[in-house]
Amino acid sequence: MNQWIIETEHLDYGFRKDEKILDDINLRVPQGSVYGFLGPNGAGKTTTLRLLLGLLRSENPNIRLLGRQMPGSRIDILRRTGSLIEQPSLYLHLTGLENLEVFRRAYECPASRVGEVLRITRLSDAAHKRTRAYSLGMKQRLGIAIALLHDPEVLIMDEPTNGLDPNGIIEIRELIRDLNRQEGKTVLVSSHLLTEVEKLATHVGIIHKGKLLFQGTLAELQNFQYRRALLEIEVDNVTRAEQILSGRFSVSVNGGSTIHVGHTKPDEAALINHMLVGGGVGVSRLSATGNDLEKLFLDIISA
Amino acid sequence: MNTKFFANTTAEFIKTKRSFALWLTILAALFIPAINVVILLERPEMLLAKFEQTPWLTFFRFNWKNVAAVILPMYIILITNLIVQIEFRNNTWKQVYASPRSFADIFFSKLVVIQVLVPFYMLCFDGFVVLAGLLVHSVNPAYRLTASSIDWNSLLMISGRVYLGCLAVSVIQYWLSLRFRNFVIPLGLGLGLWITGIVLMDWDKIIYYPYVYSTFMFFIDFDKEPQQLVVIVTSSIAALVLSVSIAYYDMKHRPERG
Repeated sequence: MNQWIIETEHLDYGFRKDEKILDDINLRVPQGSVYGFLGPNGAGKTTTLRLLLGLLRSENPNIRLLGRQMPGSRIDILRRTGSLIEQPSLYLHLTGLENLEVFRRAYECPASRVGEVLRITRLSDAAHKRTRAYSLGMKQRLGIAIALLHDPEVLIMDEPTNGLDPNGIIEIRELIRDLNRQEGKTVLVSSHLLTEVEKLATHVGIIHKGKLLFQGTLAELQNFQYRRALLEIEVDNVTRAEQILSGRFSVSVNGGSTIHVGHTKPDEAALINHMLVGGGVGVSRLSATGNDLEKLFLDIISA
Repeated sequence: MNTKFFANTTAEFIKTKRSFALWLTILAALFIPAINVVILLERPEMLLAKFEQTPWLTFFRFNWKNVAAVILPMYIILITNLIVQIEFRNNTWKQVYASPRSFADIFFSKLVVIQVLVPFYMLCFDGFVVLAGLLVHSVNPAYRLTASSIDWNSLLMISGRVYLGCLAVSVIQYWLSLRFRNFVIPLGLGLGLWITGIVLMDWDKIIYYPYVYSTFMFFIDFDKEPQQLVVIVTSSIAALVLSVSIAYYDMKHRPERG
């Protein structure tokens, strides 16, 4: 079987003929992963997810989920896929239990699943309450419960933590993590918050203005980030420091007594310090800059 | 497939729970009989003479004339809008389309709900008409609306014909309600199309206009013009088939769902 549980090839999409909302998206979501689909608002995340679920008609034949083609095998795919697109889709005049009952019939799963998903999402006590009275966090959890009803292999979630308070965000994050680790579900989760994706994902895709700018494991993203990191060093002799390091590292002077040194591995910081001190340069401060993912994300999307 | 369609149709009925659909049906059915009870009891000197020959048939027609021409089209416009708006208002279309249901299943299961509610409205209306007649008789026996003489055949005949006449409109309104997220648009279009029918009633091509079929089904005297019944029944069925086909094709080929 193909190792990619979700796959698109050269996916383009526009709502009009003269526009490109998505431009050559080659998404690769490995089985068993939590794939963080990251991008600022309006980047094309929701459009991509809607295409994956067959909610938008596409001429592109190369959208594949679970080895099957969308939209040709739409029903087969949706039988094995759970989804939560944007805000939760709930009938607010019905109770949580009634909402689940409506979708249970569509998914043709046994009545016992309703109790199970309520337990998984910790909503058993609120099952008989009308969902209008639910907090946003509870609504999101019920949305996830609906997505889990048919015990799908893949979960596609669009900004599931959007608008939640910190407690709600942690709850949803833990729930997704449990679903991935304990239930073995592949999760594709979109977000515009890097910090969220960083805490949850094993794989990351960064989309901006309809283009997939980065795709890989979280470790690869961190490596990528590290390659772009600089050491900011405050020295008593800038000229001498530049002479010592410039043969091996890229050095730039940044103000009176500060230099920026590019490096690729964490242990090189110790080596640089050793070289400077050994060369008679006094080092009063040494710090890493530009190594936070947030900045990297901004760098990638503004490149 | 059939079991699944049945299960999904029952799910569509669950969605109407606690909505205004049931109240709208009962209130709309009660409206005309309630008013007519008051009119009959307040104006016996004007109306008694009309009720002498065929009291029940006269009473049925007295009630149905308003319903066939005005209340039923209004009810259909409102109920189709209300049923479809349950999805728009709750932002649930995308979840419905992201569930493993065929497009036909989604389209027709909701249409079935509407096609159950419209006859249910008519049944309620007929029931209220009979109760209203009995109430009128109990207060003023001169109307001779006794339980034993209820003309069930005429009542069923009127109801059946008017229902056949309104079927295409119910599908067109369903299509418009699906097509537009903003509930004002199908509501306004429905009212506009219905008023246009009333205005163009004397037009020689009006037989091609489905919004007048239910009115024609009631107001044309088919005993005098039996050939007209064939024309209107044929037109109603043709309009129904055509409206279902166009609505289904159009909705299935929309570029965006949910």
